[in-house]
Amino acid sequence: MPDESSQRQRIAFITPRFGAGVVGGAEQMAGEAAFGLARRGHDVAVLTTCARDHYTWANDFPAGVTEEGPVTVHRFETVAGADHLRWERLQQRLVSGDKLTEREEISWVNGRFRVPDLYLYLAGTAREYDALVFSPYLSPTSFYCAGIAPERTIIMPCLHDESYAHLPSVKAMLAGAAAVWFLTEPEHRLGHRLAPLPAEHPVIGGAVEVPTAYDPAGFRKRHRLERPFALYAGRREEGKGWDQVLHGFGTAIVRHRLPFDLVTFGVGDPNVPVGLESRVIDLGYLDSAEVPDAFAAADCYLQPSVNESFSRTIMDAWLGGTLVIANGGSDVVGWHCERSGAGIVYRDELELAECLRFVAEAPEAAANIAGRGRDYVLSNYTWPRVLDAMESSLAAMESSLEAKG
Amino acid sequence: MRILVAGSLPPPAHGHRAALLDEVAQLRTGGHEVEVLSLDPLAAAHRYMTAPGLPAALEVALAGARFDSVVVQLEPGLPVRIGARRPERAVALLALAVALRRLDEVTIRWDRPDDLPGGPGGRPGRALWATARRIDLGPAVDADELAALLPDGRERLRVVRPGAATPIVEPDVNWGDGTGITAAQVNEVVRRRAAATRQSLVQVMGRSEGSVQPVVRVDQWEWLPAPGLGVPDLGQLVSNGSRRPADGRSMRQVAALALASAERHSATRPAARMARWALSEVRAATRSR
Repeated sequence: MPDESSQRQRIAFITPRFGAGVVGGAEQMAGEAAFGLARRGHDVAVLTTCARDHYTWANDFPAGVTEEGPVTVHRFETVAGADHLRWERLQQRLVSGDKLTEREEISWVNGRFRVPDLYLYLAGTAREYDALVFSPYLSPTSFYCAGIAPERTIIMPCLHDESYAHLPSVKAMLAGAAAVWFLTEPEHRLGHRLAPLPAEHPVIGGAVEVPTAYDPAGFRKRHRLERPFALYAGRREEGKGWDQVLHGFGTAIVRHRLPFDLVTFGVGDPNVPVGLESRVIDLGYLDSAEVPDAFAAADCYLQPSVNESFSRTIMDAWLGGTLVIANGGSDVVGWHCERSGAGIVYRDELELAECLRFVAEAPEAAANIAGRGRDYVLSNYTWPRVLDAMESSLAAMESSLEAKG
Repeated sequence: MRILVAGSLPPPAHGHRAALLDEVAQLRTGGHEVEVLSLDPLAAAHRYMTAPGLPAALEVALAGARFDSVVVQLEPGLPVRIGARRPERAVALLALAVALRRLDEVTIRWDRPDDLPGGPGGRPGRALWATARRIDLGPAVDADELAALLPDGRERLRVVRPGAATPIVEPDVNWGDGTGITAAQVNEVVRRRAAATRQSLVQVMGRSEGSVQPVVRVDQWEWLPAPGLGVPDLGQLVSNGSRRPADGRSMRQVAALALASAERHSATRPAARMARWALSEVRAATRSR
């Protein structure tokens, strides 16, 4: 039941993807928060699309309303953009730092896929909810729908410093919302650089589930992993630093004669270069029950992405007692590593190679350093803490709404 | 110091190649500017010799004049080809001896007995050994046999460890049992080591400023070592950019064959030698620009 600081509220989480087989930190965070608040007695709905795959946005799930435990899930079909070439051109201009006109920006937002039924649904029902939580920021489901009922709109943007974050549409979305929820302090600071924020913009933190047990030996045996390995989990795509990891890992094992394999699981084509196949092991999409064991079995976890607003995978690695080797170009991940003292950071491939070399040279020291990570996660990033912060913010928003009449 | 290393590096990484690679790595770690002149056109190198035997000896002579120090790895073809008869062996050794005598700081490396067909002895052999300030021997070479040939005995001889068993970069940090090490300390070591590598890359690549991002060509990974063994960076780095061995290799081979063929006939020999000399001068001039 909701605690004293917050009464039972009707909350909708609006996220572009939700459900089994979906890989994406923001989507996972939104989904787990929805379940967490529902278990605390709130009336929670998830409004999402029928898509599972963020490359195709194909309608894999059936449209309609389903009950998933304590949460009501509304799914709406995506409609593919008509002019993909135009979208590609605009995308290229954006990535290269070119400024788009307002019409071009809307055209880009709307060009890949749209969810018109979601928009129409919210246009009719938004005021039936006490709060509408949109996440992540970079989705038509947020761009379009966040303006429908701004007085009850919360943006949980999962920001990272990329060209899209500097769009005027994003600035307007953040500035116009009733509240913005940040996951980390660096993301909070970035938010201030991007837009004038509403008064209610707490750092609620992120959270991961804490596994009750690990079976690293069983994992190695099941997947025939005979050599020590570095792990990469998540989306195998350039934007997440996968190409950099492949390159850096190849350089490292050649330069320093390292004994590691690179084991990976997640979505996207790993596209392993010829000659490196024998050292890169793709486990594909892992069953969620196996994921904690993968983290615990690894000798180190590689987080090459600079586009992180929280980074759930490094938390999973630390919970499993595994050293994190992270790209220091990410403010957020660097911040976690510095605060926890449980991760080492690199700035280029040479330093990545040296980080891996350290793990090979001093596995005991690596394990000792990683051990500090578990305490860090348990002290800062568990669901009870995050849900408390969410409820506190929801209560503040409700008071503000009531005050305005 | 600018040092010319004449001999073949990996790939493949075994025998004298691995030993020479160790030498190069140590020289670079010591801050020297190293240029590699290789006999094997597939080995990692800055430049390649046109042909084994006498031409190789002459090329070492020509190239070495521009360096403060020269390291010569004896190997089949440098200077003595496998199957060479006594006269050819004698000529090749004497030519190399004459070439090296002109140079100030010479190190000769002899890793395995097979690398010097015909063995170390004879007047041509002694002439060669006389040119070296230091003679590095692999453990398989009979140091006593060689010492017996030298007027100063073992004074200049040094037996070096086998290359394949030696890590390219020795751990320079004692991590102990791993307790009490902080992430900040590790980060510091990572930065320092990477900076040292970066610095050596700048030297190897001949760049004087700017950050160097070592780009490993994917096709280099076909030589990917088994875990615990490997081909360190020099092989890849010298294969990048304008000094890539793949560039123009076939043209060079064709030219080498043509010159070698021309040298076999007395009528065309002077012209061939002139052409070879001219080519080496052009290469040297291009390089110095």
